[in-house]
Amino acid sequence: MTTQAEILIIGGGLAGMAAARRANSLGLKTSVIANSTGSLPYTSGALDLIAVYPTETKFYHSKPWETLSDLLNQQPDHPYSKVGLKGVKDSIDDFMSYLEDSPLKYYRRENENIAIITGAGTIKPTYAVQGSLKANVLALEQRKPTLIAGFKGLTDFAPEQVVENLQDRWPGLVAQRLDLTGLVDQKRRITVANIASEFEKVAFRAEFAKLVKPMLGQAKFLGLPAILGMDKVMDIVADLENRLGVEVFEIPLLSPALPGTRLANMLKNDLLADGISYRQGVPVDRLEFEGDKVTVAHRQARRVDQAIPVSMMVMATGRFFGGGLVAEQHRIVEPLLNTELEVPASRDDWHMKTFLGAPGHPINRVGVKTDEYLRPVGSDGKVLYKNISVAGAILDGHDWVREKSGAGISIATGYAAVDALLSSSEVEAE
Amino acid sequence: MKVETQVVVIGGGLTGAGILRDLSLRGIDAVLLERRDFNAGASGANHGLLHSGGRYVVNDAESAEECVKENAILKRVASGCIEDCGGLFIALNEDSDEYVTDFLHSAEKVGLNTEQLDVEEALEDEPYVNPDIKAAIRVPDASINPFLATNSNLTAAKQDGARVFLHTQVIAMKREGGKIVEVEAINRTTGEKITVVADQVVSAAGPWVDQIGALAGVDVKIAYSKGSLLITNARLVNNVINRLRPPSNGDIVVPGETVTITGTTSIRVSNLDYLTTPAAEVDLLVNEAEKLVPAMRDNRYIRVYAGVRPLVLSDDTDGDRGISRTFTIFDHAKDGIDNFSTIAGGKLTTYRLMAEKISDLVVAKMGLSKKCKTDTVCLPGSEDGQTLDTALRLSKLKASTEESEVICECEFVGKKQLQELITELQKDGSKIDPNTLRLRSRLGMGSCQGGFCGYRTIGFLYEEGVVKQKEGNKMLMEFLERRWHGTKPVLWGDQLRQEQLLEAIYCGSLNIDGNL
Amino acid sequence: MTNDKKDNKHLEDRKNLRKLVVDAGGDRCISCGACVTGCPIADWSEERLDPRRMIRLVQIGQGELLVEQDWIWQCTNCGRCTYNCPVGVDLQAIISMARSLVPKDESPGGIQKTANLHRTISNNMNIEEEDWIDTLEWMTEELQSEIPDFELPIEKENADFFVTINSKLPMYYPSDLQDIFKIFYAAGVSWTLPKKWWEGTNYAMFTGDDETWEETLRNQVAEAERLGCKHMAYTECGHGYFATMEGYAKFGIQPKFDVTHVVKLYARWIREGRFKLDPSKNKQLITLHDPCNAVRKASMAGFESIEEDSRYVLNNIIENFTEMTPNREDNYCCSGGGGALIAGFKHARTHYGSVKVDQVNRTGAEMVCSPCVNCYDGLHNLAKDYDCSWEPIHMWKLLANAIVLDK
Repeated sequence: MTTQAEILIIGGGLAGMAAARRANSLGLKTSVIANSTGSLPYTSGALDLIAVYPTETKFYHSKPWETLSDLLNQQPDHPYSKVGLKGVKDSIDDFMSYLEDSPLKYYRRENENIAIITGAGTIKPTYAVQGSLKANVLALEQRKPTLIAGFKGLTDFAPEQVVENLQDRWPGLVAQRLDLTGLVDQKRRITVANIASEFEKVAFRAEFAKLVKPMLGQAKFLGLPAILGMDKVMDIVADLENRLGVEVFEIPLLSPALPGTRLANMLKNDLLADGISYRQGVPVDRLEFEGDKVTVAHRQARRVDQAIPVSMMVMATGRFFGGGLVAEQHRIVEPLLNTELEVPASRDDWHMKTFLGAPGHPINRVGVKTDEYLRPVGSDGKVLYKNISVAGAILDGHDWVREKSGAGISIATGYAAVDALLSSSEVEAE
Repeated sequence: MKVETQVVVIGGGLTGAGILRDLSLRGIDAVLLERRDFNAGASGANHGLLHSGGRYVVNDAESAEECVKENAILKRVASGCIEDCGGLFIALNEDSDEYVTDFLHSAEKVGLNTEQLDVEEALEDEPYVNPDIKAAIRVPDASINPFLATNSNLTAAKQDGARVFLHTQVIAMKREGGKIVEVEAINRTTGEKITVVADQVVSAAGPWVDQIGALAGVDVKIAYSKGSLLITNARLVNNVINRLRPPSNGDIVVPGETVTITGTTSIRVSNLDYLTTPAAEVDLLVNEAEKLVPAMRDNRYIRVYAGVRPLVLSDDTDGDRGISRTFTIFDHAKDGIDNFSTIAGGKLTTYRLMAEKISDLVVAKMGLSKKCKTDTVCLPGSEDGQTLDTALRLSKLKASTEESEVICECEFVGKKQLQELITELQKDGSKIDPNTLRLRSRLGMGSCQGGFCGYRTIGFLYEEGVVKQKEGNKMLMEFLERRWHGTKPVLWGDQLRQEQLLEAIYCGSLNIDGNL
Repeated sequence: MTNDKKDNKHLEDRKNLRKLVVDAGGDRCISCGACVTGCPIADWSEERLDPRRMIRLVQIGQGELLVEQDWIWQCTNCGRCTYNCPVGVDLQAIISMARSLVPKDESPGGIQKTANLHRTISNNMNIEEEDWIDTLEWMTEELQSEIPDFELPIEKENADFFVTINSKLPMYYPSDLQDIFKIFYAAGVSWTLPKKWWEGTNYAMFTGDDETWEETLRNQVAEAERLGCKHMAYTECGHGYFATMEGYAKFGIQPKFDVTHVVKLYARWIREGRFKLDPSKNKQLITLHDPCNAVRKASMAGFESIEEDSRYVLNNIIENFTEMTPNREDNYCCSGGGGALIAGFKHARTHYGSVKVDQVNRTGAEMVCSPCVNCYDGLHNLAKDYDCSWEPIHMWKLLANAIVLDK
């Protein structure tokens, strides 16, 4: 199967999606191939810009743009620095405007970070959240009486955990476990996915509202685990708010994480609706180079080789989880360009002695090194391939999970990677 | 609180538990004090191997003979803790032919049943064992679950009236004349002080016997020899696989219910309480394992753990492996204390014999003539010839889901089982946290090593009201850190991918590392 | 003193299952549960088996238990598990392997029998050659009342298109043959139907009966090559198409013709302006079901998939289209895949079909266009069981309706 495209994006995660949207908006015929779903379906759908810096001190910042300015001054090799403050702001504003207008009604406060409560009863700082979590932000801020409701049989969410951990600063929190017997088919396991599909039915919502309304008492908010449908979440939230007379919000859980899944699905479907070719379950085996031309050899179903010649390519293959980076017993490689990354010599030094401590694991900071155009460079600093640029978490010089900067890096570098290819090809043409 | 008894046993490993059970079966009142939870020492960090004796036949006939006898006894009285999978000794092409003959000859001398097999026959049931071998000998090795073993001994003892105090550390021993009159201990969870007044004091504290001895003013000379082991996330072999050559590092691969365990090393250490396995040691184990089972090069390791063997120092040694694995009993009457004795050394396989011998000594000291019965009376869970069988997993899964939900997906541990455990622990006044639950079920022992089920377990504890306020989250973080200690050294390949997902969830989605 | 000695076959099987889990990447499993979220039969069995637990069972050395479960036959082979797995575990391959380890005469329901018929008589439904010709001629007569100059091209040498037909048509829905004939006629292409080996399915794939799978494919290829055809037009049958493409790759079959799914041909012919179309002939509100084998699984395996062409075609032949969600590669199984229609577990199918039913109900559509015969049957059963107000319809019927022939 051949793919005709002016620009090929390898990677279906947030960076790949951002790059695809950018390329499409600039009029390029775009094609995306993805190994699997990327990591979005495992996330809370919350988009982080930057919240902790430096990671040594775990200092939390409420004003991300100011923090970014500091970071850009101090860390020239950070992906944000490669993009530049204006590039970051423009791409974030553009992407956020799309999300804010979308059916997922994303919410942010342009110049401030926001915070939500999580399924573990912890507080997570972030930059933007899906519409169904907007009231989560507000409820936490206002600390008004709130009912946190879980479900008997759902082991992934304990409302008691949420309330116990937050009670000292939020005394108006009450936990309740709802029994869905009678509302749901006995044979169906109580799981996130099953309950979510129930919430899509009007009849279920009516019964659910009848069940929960008497428990609300003085509550002004109702917090539920993130199970409000697979897809039309804002309609469901609106319906529930209408029936219950309180604001309703979702609380993010472990995987499966529906808000992240919804975002991933919407991004994909919007690309498809725009006529962009998007194919998943298509791992790339290797890149073959001949002069300036790159051929993508992808072995589908682990058997058939198909080579696609491309003229421009964005590599947004992620880190270890999606297979963008591979850790062998003694070294770390990036398989497409077949390069070995610089890592501490002993595996003992790849990680810290503690799991959660500061500043973060050294292995999280290694990545593909690039020039200021996000083009991959060799150990001598020279650009390896002029028609490839790199985007997302695979880049060198950041620790997204400790900085709380993952989404921002993906979006900003996703856009920048496309722009860089265009500007460098213009330069070539001259 | 004051506790009066006939014998106080210090140390809650398999030996201590065995002693408690032995004495109780003889009708003697006994109390056990353990600083942490059971199997906190070597009993919780070994191969899980019930030796046939093959490993010792050539170089340590005494040990071998003990193993032969105890192997048969335990398969009767502790069958419920044992999977009688059998074992193979395999010789690689570079191993000596002479050793093969020595082996068979020596085995005969100590009464060890062996059967030399055609290489092809031996490999029939072993698709992953190195096919490039020149000899294979079948022996009656077996896989034993040391947590079940210790727990059944404790349960048996308690059924006969013994009392067990976990998380209770001995802090002083009061001597008067040639006797220890009081053993002072403190419950590390509650802070409560316990004073035990006993006729006899037995120290079965593993590598801590020197520290316990010191409290009594006695010098017990031992060396600490650390051994590290690796666990894979799948069951690669069906028999215990041993290298047919003089014992060395990393030459045993043991099927342990749902996983495969390989090891071990023998490295002198001085710090007992913080054991690490550096990358180089892990790599060594992987290299050695690969020789026996080539698939262990690329297979996913989920954890590394280490235990310390107490080696009783004697003058005539040949590296630490030369120190006899037979145990030593110290009658401290020689040191001026009539009612204190220590047992050290030995191995998992001979725990019952060790317990028997020291119980005999203690009984004699008390002027009684009660005889040991542990070689004939079955432990609870073994009375009807039950054995460990992973085939039961599926029906266990069914049972788990029939009445409740599954908390640990990797090992199919359900809520109902955990609720029962909690009730038990509450009755005992024991701590309830993911680790105490883990020791008594298989929670968190599968592929994800508690990464996901640790979270669900905490949620469950909050639901049951066992933890309040931030206690549970604190436990979760402690659990994650404890788990990390074992997973960090094997983080490459797919195990690293697992870890990356978990870090992303805990620090990304949940911000559990944050301080907001 | 050792574990029970079992016979060699048993050990061989265990070896294969264990190796297969490793080869299919089962060891990579990180317990994330993405496969469970997408699986229609995750709740169904008493043991509450699901794909993640399946991998775990094999890892712990209990793969044989898996081989004994009905669950592996209730799986519809929809491929969502593999599609969503972040670390690339080929769960479908594990199910297929487990099935192939079940002795053929012990596989449930009629799947193997069907495969055996296909192998011996060249079609699943035991239709003798004369009956096949009779049915074709009868439908030709019927069609000639609308298209007098229609001629049935049986065994026409050197025709461009070798057309496959799902044997359910001559058996149960012969009038659908008229729609197909009309389409090819209107397209103005040269095509033919053979007397044998016209079957557009392959049930052997469902029992892992590689021998039958390969043999039936080779026979069909030989037939098409004998007639000198340049292209094979594969009928609206998802698994048949997939089994053909996958089978050619797996068995190293290199035919002298190429294979195209008919939906792609419809789209191509519409673009080429070969049809005059009147969408007002299909006024109902219609939604589209994406057959797993021709969309998600085809795409993963590297074969041409039909999701975009399906939509293109529909948008040209009906008036009111509504998309179901999720759709395309994310669409849910009809409940009839993997041989499930004849495996004998109807109650299981009906149970997990509720997801599909809800999905279709949400669209408010009156009809579900289903470009796959098994999906059509699966949906038809569900509509009956759940008393739904919608019905499935083949794409050939909608297209044939919309085609305007100048007299």
